[in-house]
Amino acid sequence: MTAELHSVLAHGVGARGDLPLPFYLFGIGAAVALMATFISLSFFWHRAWLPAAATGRSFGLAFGRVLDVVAVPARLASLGLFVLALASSVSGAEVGSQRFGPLTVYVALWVGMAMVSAVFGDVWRVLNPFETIAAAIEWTAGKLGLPQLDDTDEIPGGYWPAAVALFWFLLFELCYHEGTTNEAVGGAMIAYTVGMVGGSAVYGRRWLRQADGFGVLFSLLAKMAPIYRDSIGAIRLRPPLSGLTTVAPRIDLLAVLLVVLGGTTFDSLAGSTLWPDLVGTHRGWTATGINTAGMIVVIAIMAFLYYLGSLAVGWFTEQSASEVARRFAHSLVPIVLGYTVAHYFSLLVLDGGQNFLRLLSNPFDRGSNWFGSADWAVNFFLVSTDAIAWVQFLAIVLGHIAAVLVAHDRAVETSDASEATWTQRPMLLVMVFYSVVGLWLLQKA
Amino acid sequence: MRIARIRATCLFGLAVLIAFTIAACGNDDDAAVPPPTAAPAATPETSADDSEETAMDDGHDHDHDHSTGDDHDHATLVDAVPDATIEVEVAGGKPVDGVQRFQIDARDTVTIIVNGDTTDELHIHGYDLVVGFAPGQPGSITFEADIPGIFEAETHHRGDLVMELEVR
Repeated sequence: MTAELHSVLAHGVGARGDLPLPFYLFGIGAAVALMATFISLSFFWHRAWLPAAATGRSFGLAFGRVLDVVAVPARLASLGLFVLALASSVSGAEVGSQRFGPLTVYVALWVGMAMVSAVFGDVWRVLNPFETIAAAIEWTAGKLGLPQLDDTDEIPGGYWPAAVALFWFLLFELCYHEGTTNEAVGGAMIAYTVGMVGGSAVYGRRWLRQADGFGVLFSLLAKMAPIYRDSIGAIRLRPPLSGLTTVAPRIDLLAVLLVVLGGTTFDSLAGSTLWPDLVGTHRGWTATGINTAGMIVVIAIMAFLYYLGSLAVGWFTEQSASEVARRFAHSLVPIVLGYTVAHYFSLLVLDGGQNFLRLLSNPFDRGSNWFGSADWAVNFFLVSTDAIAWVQFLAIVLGHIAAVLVAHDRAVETSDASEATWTQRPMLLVMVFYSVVGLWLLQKA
Repeated sequence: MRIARIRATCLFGLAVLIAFTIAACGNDDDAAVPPPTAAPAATPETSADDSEETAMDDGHDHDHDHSTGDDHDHATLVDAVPDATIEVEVAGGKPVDGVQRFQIDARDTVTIIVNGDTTDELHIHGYDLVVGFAPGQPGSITFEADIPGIFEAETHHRGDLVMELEVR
């Protein structure tokens, strides 16, 4: 009975929606900021300096070794949380109307890890429970004298499996009408684990690098972070965003980014007053079908606009659209982060994140209080609605400004600054469109 | 050549900005939000009494006591004259006037009255309040709207969206 209760809100784990943004001020502010950035770039940003800056300064190997030691308990804690969330979902536990499994997946993992990755780097690489499970299986197989799998260079299919995995995850979260139930989340966790560990058994752990949608997305977001680990294991500091220049210019990585960008935009649309006006209100499998169609259309629109922008830039620079699309794909990463922060910040700090911490002490609804947080009441005043509105606005605007900077830096690799801004005009229009649509949907919240 | 390009880029930026500003200002359709009706001088006392009974039933099947961290600690039921009264009518699970969004100010007391042609409950998300109603027996609840945000309210058994509460 309670299952259908939570089917209405698109990102069903939250019971609270954000207040609409005042669009005129914010929208015009966003457009002015983007234009000013774009135009001023042609005056002062003449050389591509991000690729050189991406190497950064080393902290030395010692710090990396310390982190290796710290990583062991962190890895085990993460595996423990994964098992706990799965067990809680399988047991069907509910505390009030809250469920620990869905909160862990949709809030702590999807929103929390995305933001952590963009600030602290590729932490998921250490915390990834599938990596830990695969390593444990490898170790056991080694003890039993079974042959070890090589980490093959690259699996055929590139990063397409990751794009498919993320699309499937978003279908579950945003389209499926029972996607926030314990049954659905528990089943999905088992299915995903089978896919990840099974794939690793066939292809080696390289499979996780290419098929774990979360891993691929978080590693892209981590390229924005001012901290990373180099190939010999030393920790290095570098200017934020500079790491994006090391993102491989690949069409499958572009697909990963566009799927997430389109999915988040669809979530915003589905939560707005426009959506019921457009398609009416539906329940059950009808809702699932309509949502799925809607999400596919939104992803297709976002992708098509990016393609049009690439086509037009390519027309100026005499390159093919797909060449341009791949070359500037990395500039979508800050936009994905901006959209994620704008849409899910309040969920993370208010009911979603707080309920996660609360249920962490009592995941099976048996009255336990492991970490002393079980009796917390959700504090809806932790951040004010004004603060949330500013975070949403700044996330969208700064995300797009970062995208324009990164794209310009790449464009001046092959042309002078004024020519770069001149040829990048179509992409600026795409950026303005993305940011304005993002803010407009938040205004229609 | 270079100066000409910069000048053209600036002009292009200006043109986009002007076009955008015109588009943004032309988009003025915010009149769709129905204001809640002003509270009458005195509300029927039954409404406050009903609310206390119905609100205790949170609609979930729990066999343990409610003091161990259910998440409606923050919903404050009040026994006072409300600042705003919202009345919705439900027929066959659907709101008769369509799904409307009612705006109220944070920390105001609000009374929600539900009329329906079936026996069901209205569940107000976030506040986690439940109001029972039956044919000829409207349900009513009065509470302090102290959580800012947008909250959906739907029928418990059918799961249809009935209204939205915008607290700011």
